[in-house]
Amino acid sequence: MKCRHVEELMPLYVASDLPAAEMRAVADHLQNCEACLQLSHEFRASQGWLQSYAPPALSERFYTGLQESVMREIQAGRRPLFFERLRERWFLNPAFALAALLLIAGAVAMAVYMQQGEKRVTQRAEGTDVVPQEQQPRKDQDIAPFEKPNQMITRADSSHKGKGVRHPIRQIVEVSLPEPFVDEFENPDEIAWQEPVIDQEPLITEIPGQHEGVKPNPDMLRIELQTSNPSIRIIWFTPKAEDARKTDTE
Amino acid sequence: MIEEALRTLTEKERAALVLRDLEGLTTEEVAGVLGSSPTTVRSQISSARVKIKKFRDRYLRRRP
Repeated sequence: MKCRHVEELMPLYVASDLPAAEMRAVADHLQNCEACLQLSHEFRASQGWLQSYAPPALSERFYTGLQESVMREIQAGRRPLFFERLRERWFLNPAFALAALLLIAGAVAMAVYMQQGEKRVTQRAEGTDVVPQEQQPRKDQDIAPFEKPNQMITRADSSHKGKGVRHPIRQIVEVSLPEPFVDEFENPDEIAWQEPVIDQEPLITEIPGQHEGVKPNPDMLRIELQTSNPSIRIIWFTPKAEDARKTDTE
Repeated sequence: MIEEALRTLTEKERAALVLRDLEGLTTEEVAGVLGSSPTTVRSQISSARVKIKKFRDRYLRRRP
């Protein structure tokens, strides 16, 4: 081993930081080289000077006693947290813990119930509480005209417009009957014929007309009467004159 | 005096030297603390010791 290589390894050699093989090699070289041996002495002196400033090595017992003393001071000056105190008292006493749990559950249930009650009161004040449709009282305008007493319903169509097309029923029109006519309707079997109030001669046709929902009957006369209201036309079917006289005599 | 000598070192050299020579840790322990390899730690310790020796030699030559 050359001196240059030994000089590079010297800082580690003096503190035994080299592997065993290199340590032996350097030691062998130092036995034969005065300069390298002097260098090793200088490095050992420098190490000694550095380590003289190292802190004193304390025993394990000293460190243990020091740690316990420090922890005692910390514990004495520290106030236990609320949950730590609670845990010390309640942890070993299940009865108290159960009672506290029941109390909390009861408080939560009461809060929920009161909240629901306030909600119901608010809904009533706003009128948003919904009543089912079938329970609501029927208003007068909702009642169909034929449900009212002493009134007759006539069917209205738009065929009077002359287009020759029969339209389906558009509306139910409310017509008030004169008082004598009302009495007749109370006993439908004894209805007496009375001249209706019309503006023009009745249109009589022997050709049975096509009326929605009514099958044409060749033995019937179809009579149409146009009232003063252009959208109202009275249509009825009656047996032919020969048949009517035959019915009367019978 | 020792503080002046340590100021001549870089930060990594100073850390390695203090842990090895002043705190008494082994090379492997120092490598574990610093997060380096033992080879790197040896290199840092070697250069630090050389600088400490040079500082000491200059100090002794200045002393009357």
